[in-house]
Amino acid sequence: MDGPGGQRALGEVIALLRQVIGDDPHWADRVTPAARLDQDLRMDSLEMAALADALGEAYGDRVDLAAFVTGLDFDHLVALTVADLAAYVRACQAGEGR
Amino acid sequence: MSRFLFVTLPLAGHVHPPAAVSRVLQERGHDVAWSGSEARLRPWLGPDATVYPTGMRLFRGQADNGIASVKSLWEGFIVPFTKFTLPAVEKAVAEYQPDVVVTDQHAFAGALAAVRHGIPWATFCTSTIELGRPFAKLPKAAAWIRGHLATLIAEAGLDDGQATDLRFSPYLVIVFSSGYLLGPQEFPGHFALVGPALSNRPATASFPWDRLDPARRHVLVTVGTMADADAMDFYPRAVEALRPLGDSVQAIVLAPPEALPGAPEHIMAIERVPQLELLPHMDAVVCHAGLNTVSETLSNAVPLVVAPLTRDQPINAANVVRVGAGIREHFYRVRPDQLRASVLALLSDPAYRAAAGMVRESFAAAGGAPQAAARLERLAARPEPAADAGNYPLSGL
Repeated sequence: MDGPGGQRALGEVIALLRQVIGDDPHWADRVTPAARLDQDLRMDSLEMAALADALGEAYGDRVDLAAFVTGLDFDHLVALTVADLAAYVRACQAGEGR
Repeated sequence: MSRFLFVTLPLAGHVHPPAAVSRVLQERGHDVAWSGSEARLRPWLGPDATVYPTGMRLFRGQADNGIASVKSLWEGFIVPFTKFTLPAVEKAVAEYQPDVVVTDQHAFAGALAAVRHGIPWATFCTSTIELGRPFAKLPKAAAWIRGHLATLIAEAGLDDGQATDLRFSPYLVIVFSSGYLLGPQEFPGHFALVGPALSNRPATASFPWDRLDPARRHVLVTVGTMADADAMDFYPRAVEALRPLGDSVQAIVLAPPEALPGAPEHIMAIERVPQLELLPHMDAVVCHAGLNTVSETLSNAVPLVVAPLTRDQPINAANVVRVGAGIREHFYRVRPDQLRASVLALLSDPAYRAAAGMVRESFAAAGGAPQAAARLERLAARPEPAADAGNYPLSGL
């Protein structure tokens, strides 16, 4: 993700994810750009719902995690990383800036 | 007298409920044969069962978690298992000439063989994974599953008019849970929610009953038979959660003793237990929310801590929480102090046990294995597909 906007989005998404999955360093330290939400962070449906709420609170309705996930096929769902999520947030922000 | 061919998967949770139904059918004078891996089925079914062997080979992808587990369930197991077993199941149908084929929801060879031979068939739902529209919000994943189903149907030489959805028989779908536990959702009339089928399962393990101290409360900890190596990390946290409770609690952890090094006296590691005989002595169960363990526990009005891993376990966990019969924790993230607080809540607050008792009542009213057997008898006598069968599936496909 390029540029200061992209880096900022990545940092914010990582902070939100750490809020959602808790402050246990064993898990907080695993929240890296390359970490997959499903297989690496072991996020379950309750945490995905909490993440959707947290993103909505931080960015407003323009960031709609449920709609984003709905558009993904199986392989992309399984492979979805923290960086992918940040890129989606960044794209939503850029879209609104136009 | 009717003849029933049971087709199932070589996994304990997919064999125990049908086996209970088969015993009832046999008591009523019917004939039951099985098609499956004889090496796997024989220990569960006993020496007298008729088994048409399908052979057995290893399938990968049995231990994944999360969303990936659904994909590997289909690509790594259901689809190759169907292709591998279909010739043997076809042969069993041809030789045994059943009046009804009863097939596990994911043992598609049974459904395909029944349709190809024009024999009425019933579905056993031994999991909740296909109930309650799990993919309603993931249309591309649902389409991917639909594609696999269509391919299997086409490869068996059938068209959509003959078999629209291999997961749900148009004649009869037997679900081993109750409407009360599954929650508010509409099922067509050819769905029979019979509750768990537990009757007369022979005990396959012994237990040191004299070690149970009647002065203490008892907690069973089990993560089932499919947990992966990563999941083994749960045991040490469970031991730490229970370690300070020795004055008032004895725990039985279903694990080899070497998985719990340094466990104190009141925490017993035992690899195999007679679970149905043990559960009436338990005050709380900590588990992965597999359907069999949840059903067997609630049949004894025992509340649970549910820490789901994969497949239908999150659905079962959500149902337990919805009816108030337990507390949900994150399998990988729950810390010992939090797990201890949840166990103590179950032991101290009678509301959990009362809520579990409500589920037990719903199971008793659902009829269990005898009700499943009665529905199968009715199907054998009047084999007609349900008029509204096309209104299913519910699962968003």
